[in-house]
Amino acid sequence: MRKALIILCMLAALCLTACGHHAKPEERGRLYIEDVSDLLSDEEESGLRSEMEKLLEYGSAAFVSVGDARYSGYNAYDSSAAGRYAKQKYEELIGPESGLLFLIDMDNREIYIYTYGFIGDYVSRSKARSITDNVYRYATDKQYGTCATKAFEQINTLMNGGKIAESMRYISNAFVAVLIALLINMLALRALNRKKEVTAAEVADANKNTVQFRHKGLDIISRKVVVLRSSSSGGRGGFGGGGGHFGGHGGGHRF
Amino acid sequence: MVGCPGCGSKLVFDIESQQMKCSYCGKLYVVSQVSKHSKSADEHPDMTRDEYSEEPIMSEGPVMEATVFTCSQCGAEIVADPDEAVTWCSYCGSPATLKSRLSMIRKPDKVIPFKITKKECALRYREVARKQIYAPNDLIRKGKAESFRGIYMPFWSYNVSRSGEYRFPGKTVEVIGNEQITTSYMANGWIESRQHDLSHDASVTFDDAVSEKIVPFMGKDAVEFDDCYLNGFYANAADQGEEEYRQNILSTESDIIITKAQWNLPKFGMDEQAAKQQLADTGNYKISMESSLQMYPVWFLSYRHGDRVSYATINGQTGKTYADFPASPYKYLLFSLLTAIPLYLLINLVMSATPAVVMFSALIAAFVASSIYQSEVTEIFVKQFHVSFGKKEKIAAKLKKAFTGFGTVAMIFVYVVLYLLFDTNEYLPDLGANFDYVYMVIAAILLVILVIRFFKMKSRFMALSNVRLNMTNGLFVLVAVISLAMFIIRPADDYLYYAGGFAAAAIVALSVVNLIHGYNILASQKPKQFKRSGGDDLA
Repeated sequence: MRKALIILCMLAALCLTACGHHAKPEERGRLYIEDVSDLLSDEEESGLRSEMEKLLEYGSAAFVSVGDARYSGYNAYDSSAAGRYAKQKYEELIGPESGLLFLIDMDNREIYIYTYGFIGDYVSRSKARSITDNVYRYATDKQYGTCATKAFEQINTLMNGGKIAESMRYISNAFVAVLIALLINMLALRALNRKKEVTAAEVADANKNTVQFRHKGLDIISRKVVVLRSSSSGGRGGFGGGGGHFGGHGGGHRF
Repeated sequence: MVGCPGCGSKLVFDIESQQMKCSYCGKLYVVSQVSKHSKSADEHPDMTRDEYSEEPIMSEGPVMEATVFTCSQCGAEIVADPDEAVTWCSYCGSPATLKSRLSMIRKPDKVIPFKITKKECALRYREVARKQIYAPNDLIRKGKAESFRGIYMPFWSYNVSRSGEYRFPGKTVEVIGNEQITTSYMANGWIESRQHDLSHDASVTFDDAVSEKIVPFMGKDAVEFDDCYLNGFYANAADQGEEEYRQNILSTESDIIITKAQWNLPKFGMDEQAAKQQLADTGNYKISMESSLQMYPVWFLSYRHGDRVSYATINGQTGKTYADFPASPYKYLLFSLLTAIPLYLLINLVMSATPAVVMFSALIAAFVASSIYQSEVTEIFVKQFHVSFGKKEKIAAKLKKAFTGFGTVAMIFVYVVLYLLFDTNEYLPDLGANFDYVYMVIAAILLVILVIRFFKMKSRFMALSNVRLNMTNGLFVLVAVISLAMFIIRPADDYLYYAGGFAAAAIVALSVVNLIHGYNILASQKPKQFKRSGGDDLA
């Protein structure tokens, strides 16, 4: 019980640390478009640029696409590869400032949003997932420009205090809630009907009984001594100071 | 019939006053005043046992005349006053025709009169039923005073004396400094034990599993038997000899001695099992047992649902209640949906599940349900095939281990940590971990475990030949196969995940409803075909 409480307190502390809010940046952010995989036409790029510019008052905005020539982290079952690349690219382009990076990873067939700072406060991990879920079908249909533009449109909606569709989140959460509820009720049903066995003490208490022991002694049959290993060993390690890393977050979707 | 000395109307035993009460004028009489002497064959040498019945229920001890009603549905026999209107069978709950005949039954030596009134009994039942949120409504409603029937159940009561030299082994382990010292002991001495009123039900009609739950009865309230006490109640005739239960009683007596030894002897880490074995070796002790047949008061309620029957029994002396409550699948699903609403709101606050999470949640749910299923099937197996007591205990321990075992707990822990805290949580740091890979590996491991379970349980569920239970076993494996396939394919399209997740969730829901079916088998019984062959507990 005490351990559970300690774990809960630690989790609550983690939540509080992670919930810290960032101030709105005083300077306008910068805009980056690195279409390495050449996914955007000129027309699409200009449409995307105008959508990205609306975000600059809150921080920097980046669009990055990568293809097999530039990116060696491909792994069919590594869902975090795109996320790691997005974070790395964000640190490289924007650094520890408010901003958002939209990645189209052609190697892993995944779109990913990585965000930090003031923009990150609005575009949470859950929202990033919802946005990528809302637009991944454009990427599946090879309409990469529309995909990115629609994503930035939704990001701007959020930054202006609007709401976006989060069907994936609500449907998936509903499934999880129903599954957990089915199990909770099954366990409750069994717990409610657990029958207590009658103990010998209960039987003894109910009726007259006398048990007298004339105890003669306790003979020692054998004694075994085992020398335990010393439990004191030198502690090692600790936490190393981080250099240039910061805690942004993001969410993505395969296409 | 015992008539009122004043008006001649029927006298019945009144629980509140503990006297005989006239059902017409309400006058009270002390039992001894109106005592009607039993017409035993011994007292009437001109009558032989054969004149009453071709097959006397008990062949030894004093006998008495009684009207025995036999249920044409289940064959259960109830002893009642010939004037009593017996309109339904208390054992199978059916409004069957009950045929009466005059018979000879073993005359009880003592009786504990009813202390708990019908009204109190209904209150105690309602108190228990109130917590049974999944029980069918008509079962809860049935718990009215008039639904209960007072039945005197025959119990063999034993007084056991034991004297002899005990030798109880034990072992202690202590750590001093960096040394672990294990010491084996043998406690020895002399024991004198005298235990009264250890009882066991003497009727095959009364399920031992039920009677064991409402004991103990307190022998101090037992009085000399007089059939006046039976007036207004049913009774059951003893049909098992006292020698049947001597071993059970000695086992209970040994348990009491061991409990007392733990309180009275110095602490030496007594090995209870070895001590019990030593006590069971009757060569070491002088043991004497006296037995008497006693009638104990039990309030009885039977609830028939389909072709099965559930019982509620209440100790008519102490009020101890035992009731089997089958669950209604509709109520279960309704409560699950009601629970899901606040859970959904809570989950929306802290997490954002993805379709892959739905899939994984269904897999974990299937795994936990499979653990419950494993425990349930084994319990049904034990119940139906009457696996010997020692084995039953071992299986029960295994079940506990399987259900609360490391595997299930570890899986739930992994689920909570992976999904609720890190993969889907809004506020905790993004670990950047490769969750899909982790899910795939876990799905593969769980598939292997579920397949092993499938084959381990196969012989049991085949023996039970219950289609619904058999099907459930395969459903869990199917969920694991779907999950693993999804994690390997990793479809980009949400709809495929949703389809897989929905199929898996539907399978889990179906298997949980089947678990309710299994649970209801445990909470009820097929009415026994007393003294007939072919009774099948599961059919």
